[in-house]
Amino acid sequence: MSRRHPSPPRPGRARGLFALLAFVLGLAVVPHRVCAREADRVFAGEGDELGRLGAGVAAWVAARPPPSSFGTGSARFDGEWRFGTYAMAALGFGQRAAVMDGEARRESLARMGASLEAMLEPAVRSFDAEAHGEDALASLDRVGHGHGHLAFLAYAGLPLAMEARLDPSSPRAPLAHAVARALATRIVADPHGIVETYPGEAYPVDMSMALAAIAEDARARGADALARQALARGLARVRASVDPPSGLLVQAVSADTGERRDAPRASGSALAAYALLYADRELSAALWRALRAEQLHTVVGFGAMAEYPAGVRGAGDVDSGPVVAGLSVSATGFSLAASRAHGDAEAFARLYATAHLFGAPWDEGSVRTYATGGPLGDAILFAMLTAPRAEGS
Amino acid sequence: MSRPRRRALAFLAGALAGLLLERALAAVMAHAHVAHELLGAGASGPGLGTALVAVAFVVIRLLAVVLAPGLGLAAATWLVGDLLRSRFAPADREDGRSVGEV
Repeated sequence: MSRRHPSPPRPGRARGLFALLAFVLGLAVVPHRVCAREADRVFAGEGDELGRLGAGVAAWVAARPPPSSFGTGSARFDGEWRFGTYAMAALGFGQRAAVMDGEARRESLARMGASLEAMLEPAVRSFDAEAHGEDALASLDRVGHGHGHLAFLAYAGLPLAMEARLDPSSPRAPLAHAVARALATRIVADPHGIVETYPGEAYPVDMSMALAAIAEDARARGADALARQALARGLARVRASVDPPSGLLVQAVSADTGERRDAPRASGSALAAYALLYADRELSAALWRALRAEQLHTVVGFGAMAEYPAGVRGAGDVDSGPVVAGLSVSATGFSLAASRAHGDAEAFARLYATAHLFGAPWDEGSVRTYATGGPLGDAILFAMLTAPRAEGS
Repeated sequence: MSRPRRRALAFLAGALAGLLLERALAAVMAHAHVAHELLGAGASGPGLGTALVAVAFVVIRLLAVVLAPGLGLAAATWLVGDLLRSRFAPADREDGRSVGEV
């Protein structure tokens, strides 16, 4: 019986195996760390990345991009995106000013003022006026269906109230209070505590933004009975819109009854988690926990948010942005704010790595823009990355 | 130079070229405000040049940022292994294969 000798290992194969291991190691260890290398500093509010991004956003605001710059295919959404650019820019500058002092604070407040001026121009708020058949700012003393205007008033109200809190002498402070009072009156007047975004349309995320405006105005001026009643009623309505199995907010509800009209979704929940930082931090934290537990997915260190809960199928839309393999661009970007605000440095770093990879920041001197961001993308990232952190986080 | 060594060097050079190309395209994207133009194109779709730059950028960035480090590391590992082998195993054939290799 002959014995067969095993052939000696081939050195070429060994080198190939080591090279393959090195490739896997390089894939798993390097890219997300490179993309998240600024995350710790941004999370802590240190470094100059946020200052550079602020300079880039200020340049967009100064350029006054026309509505044709936002080619969503819908005139309403084009207008919404243009308005959103200024509103998000104002929030980012306000949040920066809140944690700064001296010249840096003055500069951020000046940029916030410029963003708010642009935001309040009649042409910028015309998207909402055309949908309602009346101008939002001319309707402040009206209540009832057809006079909700949350598309404009909720998202304008928060930065206006924030500016009034940071700088009570602002010429826009009376308007900020008038907007907050109009929002509060409408919430209290509705039998279900619902205010429409557009006629016949109601969204819990927009309600959350309205509540943030009311709460921020109350901080600026002191809470009165109307504000307290509106906050209690409105927050109860938002809580009732949380889907118990997933812990996420349903995206749309009936403007008449509050019954759900859409699936629970991460994009609305993540933006609401940001807005509720100003109105109800506990509810914001609960939304973030639900997002973190079920929606956050990680691929080789890059984090991204699934738009729909497990077992729910759905497509992307203007709220979610593109949904690729179930992962939502908007939900991922909005979640940066909640992860930062609630002290979740690990999730923030994973999400930041993804925003860095697909956003592709481009620095030129002291100005940063995102190569794939455009005016709205840059402004949203600025607002989310500067979201207020909880004390001690 | 042996063929495997040339291949490893090509991978290394490819990874480096990918990184440089990504930076160049990022500069084009930022200076030409390509994202802005894409948004502004609306339902009619962007121009061919704009679309090509955007698609090329996304593909090259993914390759450069996600794959290039692994490719570079793999190529470097191969080259180091090859150098060590040629130093300590002089019986290797000129074509880079060891004596035992076919």
